[in-house]
Amino acid sequence: MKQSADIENLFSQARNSEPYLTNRRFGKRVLTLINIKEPVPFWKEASIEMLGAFVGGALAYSFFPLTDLVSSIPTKFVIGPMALLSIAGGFSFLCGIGYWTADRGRL
Amino acid sequence: MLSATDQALIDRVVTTNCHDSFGILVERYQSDLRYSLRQMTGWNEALADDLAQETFIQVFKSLKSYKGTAKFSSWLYRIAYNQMVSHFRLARNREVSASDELLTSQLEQMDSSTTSELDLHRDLAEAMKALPTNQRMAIHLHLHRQLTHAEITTIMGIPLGTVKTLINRGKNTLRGLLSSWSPEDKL
Repeated sequence: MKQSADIENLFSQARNSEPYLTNRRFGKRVLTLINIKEPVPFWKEASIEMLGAFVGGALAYSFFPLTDLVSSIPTKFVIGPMALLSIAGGFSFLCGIGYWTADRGRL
Repeated sequence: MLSATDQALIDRVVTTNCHDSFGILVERYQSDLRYSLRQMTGWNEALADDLAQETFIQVFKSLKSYKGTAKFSSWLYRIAYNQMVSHFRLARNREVSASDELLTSQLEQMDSSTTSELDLHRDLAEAMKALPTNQRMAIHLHLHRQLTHAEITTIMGIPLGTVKTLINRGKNTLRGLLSSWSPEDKL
């Protein structure tokens, strides 16, 4: 019991003689870092990006030859043996890449 | 403005981003927090100040989420405790022993101030180094800051029973370490 009281007495002595640590440099440093680290708010960042996307979209739309592009789409398709072979080849290639990627990820 | 309550200052920071108000909050709590962190880090002044600085920056960032249900000081100490725990975890992961860090710093500081007035504080911090981080925090908050078990529970985010166990275990360890402590030895 006495030992317990001694520990408490020691902490009490420390509490009563606790030094006041001056704020001069510390406070200044914290406030400076707050100014530096202050992040751009999400809504601000998002609205700037939205505005950029809108302006970019409007410009692209005005210069985009939509009618030419639509007229260039073929209206008739003829599937010959070569076309079928090419599609099968492309599909096999994509399957191969998919398998390789999955296998690599597992390793 | 200097006499404004914590809540009034917090409201001003949240609504108008007033840095001066935050400066007053820093001024109000910095000494206590830096002293506590010195006790937690074996009186490593540089490390304690870095942790305190990170704590205040974190406080500023998350001030909006402060609900006011607990005292501001408890909330501040909770953030500081989390900073300290993650610092020691990172230090352990980097295989830089915290105690080596502390010892180096203490040797560096030894020449700068050896006043007997500070011996008690340094020796307490030195003895506390033997305790795990959670015991150190619980002991400091209970014996030095005189917080209740319930308040320590809020700060450390652990159950009441665990807080009591940590304090009892910490006291037992410190009893052995500080049994021979006498201010006369230091003079």
